[in-house]
Amino acid sequence: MIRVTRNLLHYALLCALGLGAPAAFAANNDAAPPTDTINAVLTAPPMVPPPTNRSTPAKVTVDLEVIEKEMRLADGVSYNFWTFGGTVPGSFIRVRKGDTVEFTLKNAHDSHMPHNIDLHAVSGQGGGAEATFTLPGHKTRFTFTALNPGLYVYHCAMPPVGMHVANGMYGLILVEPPEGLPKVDKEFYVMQGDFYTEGKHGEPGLQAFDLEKAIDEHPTYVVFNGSEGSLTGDNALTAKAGETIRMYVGNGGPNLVSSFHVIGEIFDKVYTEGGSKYQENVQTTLVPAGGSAIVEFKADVPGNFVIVDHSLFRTFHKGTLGILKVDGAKNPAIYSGQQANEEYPAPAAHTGGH
Amino acid sequence: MLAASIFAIVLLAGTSPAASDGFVAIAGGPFQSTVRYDGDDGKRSVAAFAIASHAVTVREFDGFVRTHPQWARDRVPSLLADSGYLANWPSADADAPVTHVSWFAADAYCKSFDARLPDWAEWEYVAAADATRTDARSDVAWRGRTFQDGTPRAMDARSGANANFHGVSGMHGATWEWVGDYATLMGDADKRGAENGDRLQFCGATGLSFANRDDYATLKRVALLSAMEPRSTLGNLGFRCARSTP
Repeated sequence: MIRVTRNLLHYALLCALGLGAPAAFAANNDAAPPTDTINAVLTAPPMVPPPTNRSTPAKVTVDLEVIEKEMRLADGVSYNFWTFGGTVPGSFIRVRKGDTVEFTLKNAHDSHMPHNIDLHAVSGQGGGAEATFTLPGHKTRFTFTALNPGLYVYHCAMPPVGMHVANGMYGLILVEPPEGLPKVDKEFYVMQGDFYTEGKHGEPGLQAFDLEKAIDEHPTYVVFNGSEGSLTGDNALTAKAGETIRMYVGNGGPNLVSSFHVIGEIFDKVYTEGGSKYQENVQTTLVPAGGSAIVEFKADVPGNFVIVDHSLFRTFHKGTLGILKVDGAKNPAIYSGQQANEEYPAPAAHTGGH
Repeated sequence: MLAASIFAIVLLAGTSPAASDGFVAIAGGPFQSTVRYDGDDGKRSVAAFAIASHAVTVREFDGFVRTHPQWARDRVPSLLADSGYLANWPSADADAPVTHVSWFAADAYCKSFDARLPDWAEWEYVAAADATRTDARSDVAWRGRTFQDGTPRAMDARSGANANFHGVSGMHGATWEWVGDYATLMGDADKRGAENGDRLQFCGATGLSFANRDDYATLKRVALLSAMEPRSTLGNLGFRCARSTP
């Protein structure tokens, strides 16, 4: 999985540099007979699969495995995450409106309990949850037609549902409109989630799920992409000045609503709640728990642009902090940087007394 | 002859201080179950019974298979056990709870000892106890630890974990346990119960729901058991036996 992810990263970079357009995808632009079966490319966050580049629907197979694993939640802090595909959020799935999606859910042999999946992109009972009730060591399959384009959350719906979601069992599935989405230079996958640990924020070691904090909706961690620091330092998202950027933003919850904002940028377009219409010139967009938004903007000038949930105590005390590092030449016509820093005269002292 | 002596050893191995045959007497009494059937209030009256002080081990089950070779991995009919049956043998730790066993196999094992699988209410009654209390479920810290049931981090999976108030060990261990009437726990595959909007209800034929929505250990356990067929096996599902009190 990791190797696949790296290959995709490489591929994405090639595409970004205009070196991509591999034959496999180009071929799909042609006839694409309905009998064609395409294995969906799945990516780990923050990467996004390449566009489907198809003018007709196809049969697409998606193969996703539930994996329970201990991973880093913050520096010195680990957590027993339950995942779709081994990451939080789970693998990004990309299909096209009209596609017939044959979905296989595997549950790893060493899972401790059954899991299932409810994809909000599915029209049908439980969004597939009923059809994918999967024991450890088993796999289940169902097929749906992607009727509605949009950016949809998927999540586990096995009881206790809140606990499965609180442990990281969510991700995004994009159903492209028939014409595809406008071409951009960079696409990223960012998903917020709230976590509830017995130890307080920063308390080291393996932390257990705390039901009382979850019921009270008092998370110890609120993070992007499953851990503090997932989008900072060496993990920061990168772009070049002048590039257009699209972020597929999700919120797994289970409890909190996100006020998604990138400091120093204005979203040129926001496909509100992951739907088909976009709002323009947006500063902060609400991303509901179990919902999404697609945000687009041009990185006009270089700098470190901080990705936050603008409910700010979460950002500074619980983890919702990421960095988009934009390199390139400065453009003083758009942003000068500091031009002055000097004292100014105090108001004249009052000399009254008459 | 060898098989017979192993059989005898198995019986001896089951000995615990609490009872000479490995079973512990449970007085029973009124009990608030987390599981409600058909909208009842979950109040149960658990009759006196006896339950094994520990889950059946690999060594014990091996003894059973030697004396009942129809339950050997290569002989059991697929109707009675799926392909995972005893799949971890022979590498399994002989002293660990046996896993990869179907309900049919567990039922046959207990019957061979003139015993039976415990009912859900009996199992839940015994599992409600910690070391000092018959019902520790209102203790938030203790309850939180039960969320790890079925994983290697479960509280009773630690070496040297104490027996509970009744003298019974491993009720909250790394392995789940079959119960005799587990099939009554079945509901719809999607447990959110869309029909009437009650998100906690296990709707369907049994009308199963939960009297205590904070008892996540039981919610998880029931979700697991309700997914099973009697021929199904899992790497973290074992069993223990019980006996009715005459």
